[in-house]
Amino acid sequence: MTTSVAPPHPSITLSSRTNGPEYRRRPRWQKWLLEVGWRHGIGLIAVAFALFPILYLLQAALNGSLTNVKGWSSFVPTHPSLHNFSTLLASKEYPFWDWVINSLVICIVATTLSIFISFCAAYAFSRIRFKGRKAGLLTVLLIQMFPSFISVIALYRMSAAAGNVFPMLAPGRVSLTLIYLGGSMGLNTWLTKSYIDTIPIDLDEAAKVDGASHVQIFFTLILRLASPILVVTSLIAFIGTLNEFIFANIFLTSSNSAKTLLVGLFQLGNPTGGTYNFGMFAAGALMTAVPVVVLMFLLRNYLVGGLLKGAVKT
Amino acid sequence: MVAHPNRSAASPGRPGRKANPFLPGDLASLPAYLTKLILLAAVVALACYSLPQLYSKQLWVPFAAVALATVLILWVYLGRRRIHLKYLVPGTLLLIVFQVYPIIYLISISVTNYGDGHFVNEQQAIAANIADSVEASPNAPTYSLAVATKGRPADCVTGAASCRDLSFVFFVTDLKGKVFLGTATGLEPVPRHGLVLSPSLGLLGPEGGLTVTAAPGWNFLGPVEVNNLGPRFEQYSVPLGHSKFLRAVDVTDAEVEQATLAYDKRTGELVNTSTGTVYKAVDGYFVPTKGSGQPLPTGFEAVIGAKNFTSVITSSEIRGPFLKILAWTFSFAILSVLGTFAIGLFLATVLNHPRLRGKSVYRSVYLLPYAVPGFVSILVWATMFNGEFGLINNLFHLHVAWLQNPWWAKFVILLTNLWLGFPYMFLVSIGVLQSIPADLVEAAQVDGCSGRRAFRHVTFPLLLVTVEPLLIGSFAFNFNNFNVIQLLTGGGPFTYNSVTAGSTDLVISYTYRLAFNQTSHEYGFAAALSVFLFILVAAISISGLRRTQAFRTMT
Repeated sequence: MTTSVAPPHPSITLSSRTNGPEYRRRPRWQKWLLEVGWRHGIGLIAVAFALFPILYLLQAALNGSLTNVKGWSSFVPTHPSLHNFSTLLASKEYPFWDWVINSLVICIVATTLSIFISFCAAYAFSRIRFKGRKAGLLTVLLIQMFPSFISVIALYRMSAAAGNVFPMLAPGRVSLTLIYLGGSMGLNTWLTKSYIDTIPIDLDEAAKVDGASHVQIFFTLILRLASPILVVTSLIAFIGTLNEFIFANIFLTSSNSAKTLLVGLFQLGNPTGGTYNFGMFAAGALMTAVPVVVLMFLLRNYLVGGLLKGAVKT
Repeated sequence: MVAHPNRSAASPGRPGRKANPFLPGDLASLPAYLTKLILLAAVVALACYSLPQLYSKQLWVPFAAVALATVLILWVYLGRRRIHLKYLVPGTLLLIVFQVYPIIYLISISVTNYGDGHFVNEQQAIAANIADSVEASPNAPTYSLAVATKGRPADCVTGAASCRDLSFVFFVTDLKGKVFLGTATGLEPVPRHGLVLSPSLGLLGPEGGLTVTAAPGWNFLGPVEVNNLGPRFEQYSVPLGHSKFLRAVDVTDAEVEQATLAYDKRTGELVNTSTGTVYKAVDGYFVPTKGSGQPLPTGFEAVIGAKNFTSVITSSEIRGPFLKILAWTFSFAILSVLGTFAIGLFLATVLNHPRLRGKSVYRSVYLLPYAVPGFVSILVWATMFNGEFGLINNLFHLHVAWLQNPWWAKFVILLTNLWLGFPYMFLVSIGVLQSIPADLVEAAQVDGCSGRRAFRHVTFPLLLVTVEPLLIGSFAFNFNNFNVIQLLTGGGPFTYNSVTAGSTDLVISYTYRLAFNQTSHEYGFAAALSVFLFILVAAISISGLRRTQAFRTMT
């Protein structure tokens, strides 16, 4: 905590000038408390609120059993062990690594392709003038606001019907990935387009004069210069896909090893379900959350900028 | 085109170069050109693979769609012009297939009764009802039964999807030891060569009857695996002609049964030959033309017009719960947005002080609830508020069944959503606050504004301009916040008088349950609710759209 505070400079705010005489009379700690200290108080209350479920999760993952934990010790691992982790990883009934691989493959394929596809569209909208451009842009803006899960029933029937002809397209991991890809155009195309708009068009012109084709300009120039926005949209799309429950839950029912992390861990973390095991859930949840949180922290400066511009978490 | 070999300002890694006149298309380098060729070849290969199959199954609409898409792709990418289409075609095709078409399809489902008891078409329903109406014919011969499959029987677990798809056949043996293969198309004799027969464990056993236990190319199912097939096994009928069917009596025996229903092709009616009742197809049911008897068990998918929509208004059983759900959906979304925004903004104004140290630490900590994947934290909250062993009851020595009481459940949901949502609002608010020039606020204070008034009249309006579209986006997101409901309460608690509509259900989770329940599948009605939801979201989105900077600059 901050202990030494620089004496208030009289010209910093006008209110400090009007309060001037009082300032001289009050001891330094009181001044600090009135101006800054109470802010820390509120900040710390919010810190407690933000952290307590996370501490509880940590404790549950590291404690062998929940039954011997009572009261405030629920926030401290009293008997730290990696028992929950080893049980989960050794379990045949709950194939954690299969879930990880499913989630990773689906999320990476869906995110990479859809970000690329939406980036292509954004490039066309930003750099090329063509008939129907305005109408296209408006459509994209509208589509972005429509959650595709509204038509989950139709998509499920479509997938089942397609599966009769091409078994690969029956409800499963492939069709799920395709459906995630289906939302590509709505995925922050507008945001990316606005970002490309800020890249000076002179650069394109110069490259064109040098004999670069539109493909070369796209890949070597625009794609590189727009990487900050791509980082944000990819991150948000990746986490959105990881968190997707509606489609994953009804498309991945064939076996436990075909599930994603969310649907798989749900069996363990649902208190009203028959297979509830919070310790094992916490271990799996922690292994899922830590990489995501680290990624978010590394990219947090990009992220806040993107959020302000209207990046959407789906 | 003029080449400037020494200028490379545009792309530092690659000096500019002349377009290669020997290569067609827009691509100037060989690897890129090859990539394009390979991708196009893959598209053509995919079309060549899928078109014949769609043709042979007479699926004309998908056939036309695939053919058109392939032609479009080739037309766009093989030409030198139409550059904008080269960038737009992939996204647009996906958009049409996965967003636009499903919505049209959804509307078409919403005017049908597709769902439990109405999964098949009319012809299939007629066949199923006839097969279901069988009674054992007098003096019918009994056969020893064995069930076989081409697949691996071990894959079949009760209720699993793999089991629903496992196709099987009957091997039946008569008292003389003759073996027949019974399929959905009929019964045919099987040569004894290669078959292994052993004494039957069923009705014919005492009389010296035999049953097939092995045949080349077939896997035989044990009694437990046969049981796992459930109703599919019980209803399996081998047609023998003249309204006669071979059906299983138990897992080891089959017998010939006679159908009591007959189909009248001329009138399109089903007639019960023993009682004389006539059944007519109405709204996807076969109902008796006279009297008020029960309809036949198997209905079919039929267009029932706007009945799914009007039933929300006309049927008091549906209207009551639905209006409650709608009201809660709106209150949940509004309270969530206001709550998270109030806390986020309050924290941002408190912590946005020039002499406050450790701002970045606070910001990092508040990022945590946003960074932890939502499903993990929601399930943690569900456990914390569990009535039996939850942390909250434990800490404060309470005995509250948080998630079993409708009001407490709503409270927990709002609290959880507050926790999930305030970091986003905080990050956005503090970002905007820092971007508002300090001179503006100072100028207001010079003019005699108190700190509070300066905030109300200068800072807040400026903040709102940026944040407003985000608030509307957040509202639309929470309106359909399926995860928080499904993972916390599953829509519950449920009461006696509403078994399908839970106290904390949002429209989206209610719709989901109607369609993808363990026991019921009311697709038609759920589709109608989805269409309704679609219209609501459209209204919200368009009002949100009008406020966005993007829209303003466009019009």
